[in-house]
Amino acid sequence: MKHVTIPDSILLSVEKPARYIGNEIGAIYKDPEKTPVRIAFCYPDVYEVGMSHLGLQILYGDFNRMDNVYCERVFAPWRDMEEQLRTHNIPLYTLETYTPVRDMDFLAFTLQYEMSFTNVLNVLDLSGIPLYAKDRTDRDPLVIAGGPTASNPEVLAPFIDFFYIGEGEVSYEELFRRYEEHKAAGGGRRDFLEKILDLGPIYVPAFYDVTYQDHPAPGASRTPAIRSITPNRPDAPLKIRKDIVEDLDTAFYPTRPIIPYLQTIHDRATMEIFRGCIHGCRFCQAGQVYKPVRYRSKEKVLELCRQIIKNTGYDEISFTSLSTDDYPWLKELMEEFHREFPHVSVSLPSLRVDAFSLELMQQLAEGKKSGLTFAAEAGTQRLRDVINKGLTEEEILSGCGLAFHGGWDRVKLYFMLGLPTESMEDVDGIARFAYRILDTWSQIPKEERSRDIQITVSTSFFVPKAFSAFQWAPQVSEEEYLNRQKFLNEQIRSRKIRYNCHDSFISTLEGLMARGDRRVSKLVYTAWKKGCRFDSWSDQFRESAWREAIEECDIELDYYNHRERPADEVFPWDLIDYGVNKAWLRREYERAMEGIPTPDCREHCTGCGMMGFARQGLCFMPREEKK
Amino acid sequence: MMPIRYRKRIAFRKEGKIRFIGHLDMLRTFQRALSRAGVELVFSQGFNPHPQMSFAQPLSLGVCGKREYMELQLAEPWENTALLQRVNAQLPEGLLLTECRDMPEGVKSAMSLSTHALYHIELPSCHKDEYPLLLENFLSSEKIPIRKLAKHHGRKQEVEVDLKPMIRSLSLSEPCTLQLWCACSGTENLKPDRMMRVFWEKSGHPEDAGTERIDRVDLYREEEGHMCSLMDLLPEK
Repeated sequence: MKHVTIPDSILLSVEKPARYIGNEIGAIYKDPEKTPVRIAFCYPDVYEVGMSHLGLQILYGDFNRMDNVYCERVFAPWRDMEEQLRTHNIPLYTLETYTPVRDMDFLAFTLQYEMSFTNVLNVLDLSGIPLYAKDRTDRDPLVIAGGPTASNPEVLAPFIDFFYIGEGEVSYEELFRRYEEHKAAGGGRRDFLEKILDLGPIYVPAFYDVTYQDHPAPGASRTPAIRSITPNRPDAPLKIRKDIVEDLDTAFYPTRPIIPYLQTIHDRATMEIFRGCIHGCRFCQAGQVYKPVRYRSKEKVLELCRQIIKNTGYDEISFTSLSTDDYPWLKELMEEFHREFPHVSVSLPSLRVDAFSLELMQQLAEGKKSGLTFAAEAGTQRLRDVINKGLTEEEILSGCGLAFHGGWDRVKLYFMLGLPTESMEDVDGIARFAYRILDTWSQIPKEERSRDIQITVSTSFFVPKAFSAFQWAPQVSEEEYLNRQKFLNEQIRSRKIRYNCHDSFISTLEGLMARGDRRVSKLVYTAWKKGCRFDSWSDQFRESAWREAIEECDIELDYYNHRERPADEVFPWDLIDYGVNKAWLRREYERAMEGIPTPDCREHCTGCGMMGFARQGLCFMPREEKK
Repeated sequence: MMPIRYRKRIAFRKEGKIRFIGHLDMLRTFQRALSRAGVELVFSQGFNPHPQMSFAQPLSLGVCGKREYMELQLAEPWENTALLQRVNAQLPEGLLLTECRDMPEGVKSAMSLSTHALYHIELPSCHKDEYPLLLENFLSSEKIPIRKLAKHHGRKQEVEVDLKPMIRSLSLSEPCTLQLWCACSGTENLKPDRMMRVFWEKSGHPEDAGTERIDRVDLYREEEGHMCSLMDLLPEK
């Protein structure tokens, strides 16, 4: 097999050449002659972003545990490196053995956000792999995609040979075993795709046909809705069921992660303490697709931490999950960890602010007081009931009060604009909320609080996502987004309150990708052709190219984004089964419209469907009282 | 009170692909390797304690180091060979500790001692016959100016720097190898890659910029006209 050589002059001419050299501690080197199954695992963004992703470290370690498999890495080269590779006719290569990606057996993408789609195409193109699955031959790798954004696979469907739905630790071992057998017998790519259909989480877009209605959908001028998505062969399943790890204590966890040379987004060790979330925020996709909650035991967490710290030499570790507060043994874990590793600092993302967590943060910070962060999401209680965000203004104000007494002087508040049913009163509520926090601070006697205060209000635009309760909801138009943003900006007058906001067009595109169908794939292709890459980087985003592409591809935003979808509409992602019933999600949507909150899984089960999907009792473990 | 500390001067090599990682990234790599090896560093006192580890002079990106210097303050006594073995087992390919000596009390740091560096610059063989003349021309100019970003009057701006006075000697040691002795201290530091860019521009082959291979052979202190390697300044033990 040929290897790629990158001349020094190229590495010297690009920004951060360490992105392209590999050779890190923790990177795995095997003899490719002895591993019949070779994988290029691609996080379709720049190296430092991809290397911060826990899922990559998990699957990289898990795949390489298998003797017959060699999994290597590839990332999206930055524009300067892309130019060099194209000029010198060098194909994209893996970081471990510098093997051209096109010579691998599999190219596996992890999809973490919609705005990485043009990078997926660019990686295929730089590798010299035909972009469309239908144009590939037996000489090309099989192209896989997985990750949370694969929950609506349709926008990328024509470019991907198969999607893997759910958690990768489960079925890949068997899939690779079958591939090894298949390859030894000299089988072709199409036969292989047929052989893995019974595994469960595999979606092969080519095995399904999509038909459309004869007339435009209500609310759209020319785009008809989907009539059906049906298998075109008898063995293609009617539902593709996600894979889930049943017991995190016995699941693989990377205790020898790759340690990047470059400073990454999260430059520390990562310990996943549980998966899933008990809350049912109606805008949230992760909360539904990662169901059910599965805790890793405190003992297992500590055991893994011991190994990770010994193997990496990191002096900081992050305990991650979707909502740290819900870990039943958080207090004990923190105490025991601190006793055993007094010099290793811990970071806890997504922590709710109360007396307990403030005490924790005080310990963690050891004198340094970083800002407090609250994801309030909406400005009024009415709207927070609509989105089922179980966080009240009183809780936030009392949390802030405690924190101000403790000397904290920076507060960050996150909100979404454009949530379903939002009125200008709700938008104004965001400003009033910030002012009440300011009042809380002002009312504390001067000697008991910090001298100054900085409140930062950040708004992003709400984007409806597949498998969230709001998957039927209309997305606010770009113009209306901007109206609300402008209005809010006018309500914030204090110099102690700063306002940050997002780009509305990127949110429009994100919404289009998030709920788009196969007809949107040509838009991604056209935008890529026009030079779009790294669309999630505001300095790389090419707005005019995207607008032209939408025009040329005749993509109707009124159809994809702005209309409310009828209750009985066939969604592009209806084939995919994450265990949560569409009927339950619909009920949640209707309750949202009536402003009725739904209790979390801890309070009582509302029958989302997970109970029947997973093994009995896996859904939820009772949380011990925090002391 | 100062904590008990054991000071070591360590020479290491940085070669292969790893020469494309920057100085700060290399520093973090060493810190983690030491931590994995169980070598405990003394932390600085004060508000923001950091491990006591310093380097003589950063190496430019892409340049190989044959005898680079790092100094550590250890919390426990270590036998020098054992220390090298333990840390080397934790280093990625391309980084290798080669020598370690104790630093007696009062010895100045490599950073403050270093005055000069020796570089070997491998040139592409395609212009082999031209090099003697090109070098003569290059050295005959009164100034070798480059423009660089530097703090000037309190803000960053482009300033002109003349490299000529920093070159102590530049000669062809082989038909295609330049030998460069130049200033390398905290106040004056010639970056050979910058010098070579000027060399290629003046030579009429600007397209060859970046094709040379640069090795930093060692760092020295000039004492009474003699160049003494920073490692050799310490007693052997």
